[in-house]
Order: sequence, then C-alpha cells, then structure tokens
Amino acid sequence: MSDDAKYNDDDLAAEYALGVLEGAERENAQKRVENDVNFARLVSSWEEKLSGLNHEFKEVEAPASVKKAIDDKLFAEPVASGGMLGLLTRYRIPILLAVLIFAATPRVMDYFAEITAPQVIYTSSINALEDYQVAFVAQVTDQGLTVTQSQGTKPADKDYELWLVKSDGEVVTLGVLSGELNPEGLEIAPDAKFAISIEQIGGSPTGVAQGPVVALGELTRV
Amino acid sequence: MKRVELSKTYDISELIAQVALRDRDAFDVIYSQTSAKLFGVLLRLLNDRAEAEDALQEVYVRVWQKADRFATQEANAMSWLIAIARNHAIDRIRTRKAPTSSAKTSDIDDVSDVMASEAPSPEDSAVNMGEARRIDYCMGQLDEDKADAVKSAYVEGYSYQELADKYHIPLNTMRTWLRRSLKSLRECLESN
Repeated sequence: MSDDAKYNDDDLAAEYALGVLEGAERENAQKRVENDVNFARLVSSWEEKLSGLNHEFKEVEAPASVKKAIDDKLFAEPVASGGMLGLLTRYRIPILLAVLIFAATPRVMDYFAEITAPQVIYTSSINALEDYQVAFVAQVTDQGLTVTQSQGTKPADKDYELWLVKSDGEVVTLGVLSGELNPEGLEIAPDAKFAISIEQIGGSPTGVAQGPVVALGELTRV
Repeated sequence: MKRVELSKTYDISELIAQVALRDRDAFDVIYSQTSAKLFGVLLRLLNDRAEAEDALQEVYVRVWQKADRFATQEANAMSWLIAIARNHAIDRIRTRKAPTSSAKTSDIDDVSDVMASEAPSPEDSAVNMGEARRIDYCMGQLDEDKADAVKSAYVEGYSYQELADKYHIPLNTMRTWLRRSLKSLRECLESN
C-alpha cells in the first residue's frame, strides 16, 4: 500500500497541528477544526503530543502597552467607565439569563403587573464621607429597595455593603449592592440613616462592618 | 485594577473556565501568568518584535472569545494557549507576501540572545520536563534530518514547501518523509 492510500484524518490532523500545511489545505483543515468535533479532537490530541517541544520557546516579557491595547480592544466601551453601568455590561449575559428565567415563571408575570408603578416612600442621597469620591441614591418603595451608585466606581475585588443605622444606634445590614438587597419585613423609621461601607466580596462575614464607611445619607419621606 | 498576588499558583484551566463566564479578573491573571510564554512563542515563530506584539494582542482577544471552547476539550491549558499562539503566528507567516524561506534564519540569533537571559518557563516544571524529555527521546529515535524537520516546522513555522527547499528534496518526498516521521513519533510517544 502506498503512503497516500494510508493517508487519513489523523495524518491531516498531525500536519495541521505541526503547522506545515499552507494555502487551501491549511484553510480546509482550519474549517474542519471549527466544524468537525472529531477532527478537532484529533488535532487537539496532536497538539498535546507535540507539546513536549514547547520548552523550545523561552519566556519573554511583553511590553505593558500590549495588555492595554488588548483591554482597549475588548473592553473599550462601558466597562472602562466602571460603576453600575460597567457592572451591568460586564455581567450582561448572566443578568439576561437570570431575568429570562425569572420572567418565565407565572408568579413573576403577575408580579410585573403590580410592579409597574411602585410607590416611593423614602429617598436618600447617600453622600461621601471624608475623601471618598462616591455617591449613591437610595429609594425605598412599597416594592422594595433600590440603590444606585451615582458617582465613583466599585473596586473590582470589593463590594459595597448597605447598612441601616437606626436612631437608637442599632446597625442592620441590608446586603451588598452587587447582590440582592433585602428589606423584607424591615421597619424603616424616618430618623434612620443609610450607610455604605467597603467590604470583601459578598459583604462582611460577621454582620458588623469591617471596612471603612464611605458614605452616609439621611432619609427623606416622599 | 485588581492587584494580583504573584506568589500564588494559579490553575490556568480553572481561570479559562472563568473567562468563559466573562470574568475579567481571571482574564487579567491569565495574561499575567502566560503572556511571557506566548510572547516567546510568537517572537520565535514570527522573528519580528513589532509583529509579535501585534500578534500577542490578537491571541488574547481570541483567548477571551474562545475560552468556552476550551471547556469542551480535555486539553492541557498551557498547551491549548500555546496552540492558539502558534496557529495565529503560522497564519501570519503563511499570508506574508514576500518569500520568507531565505530570511528565515537571519535574525533568529538576536531573538535567542534576548531570550537566553529570561527566567525558566512554566514548561520547565518537573512534569513538563518529563514530557519534554519524552519527546526529546522520541525525536532522537528519528533520523537526524527528520527530527530537525519536525522541530523546524514546530518551532520556526516552516511549511512543507520551505522544508523541501531547505533539504533540497521534492515536495512530495518531503510530505512522505514527514508523515512517516510523525507516525513513528506517535508510536514512540504512546509506548514510552
């Protein structure tokens, strides 16, 4: 038997993985990698076999400008501006999925009918303390609690945690801004205040603020 | 910008899975942990610093876009990343208009000089040195010319035609040569 007669997909995968093909042959092999799972596996298996040769490639530090160019290409739009919009953009796929799944349940469909016109009970401008460059706006409605960051950005490895400071000095967590705020069963008196602190992702594990309080706001009854 | 702990050992596969979920922090860590190796790959294959920088951008854009593909494979994460870089570099070499075979060896020495002083790569860890020794052993079982042809293709991006020119043999003979060599190489790697 000649070598040509024995030539099969595995040979082609080897040639592609090694990189010796050119022109139409290479393009065809590339298309098959994209569209043919079995062929892609053969290529991947050859890449693995040949990977012992990777020690031939030494490490060379790339200039910092390269990473910046990559970030500009991939994230030039809203993420770069940070803040709530950035978070929304960054998590748009999970958020969209969550919304779709949530909206598909009948109970929620009913809920949406009611949610159309929430009655605002309190608003609060939660403004920065000391040198912190942040500001938030909170709304307590008959439907729940919303807080929007109106100035500054959230550090990527931290969360903002919202606290209710009651007039008697008791402090209760209301959750982290990137998560779900939970005012259920919460009694908010007009003389309470909102405070926001910087905490580890997911919020303070102890139920007491551990990070600095960056903003404070009084409630205004609507 | 999130600060990265450099002393930590990262599981690149885990990070790629996070990147598939659009985790930018994970992407930043992957970049900091692997870009020097991939830049080395691109420099060696492209032999042109400016083009290698440009290619490095493209490679990480692909990593961001194709991370979900990795999850469906059983590949080693570093091999997968290097394969993306090699494929991209070879695409660039193949679409260069001017013939490159004569220029191929010209400034490789310069690049090697730059690289000689660099720190050992993750590939040099014990496990991967095992892999490397295995392939070195199996390459050693091939005729010298044939092992050299395989290495020239893998490390410097020679095409079949360029290899045929290099060894002064007809293209079809080169194909037969190399296919046989790859088959022998596979048999050796699988039985050692």
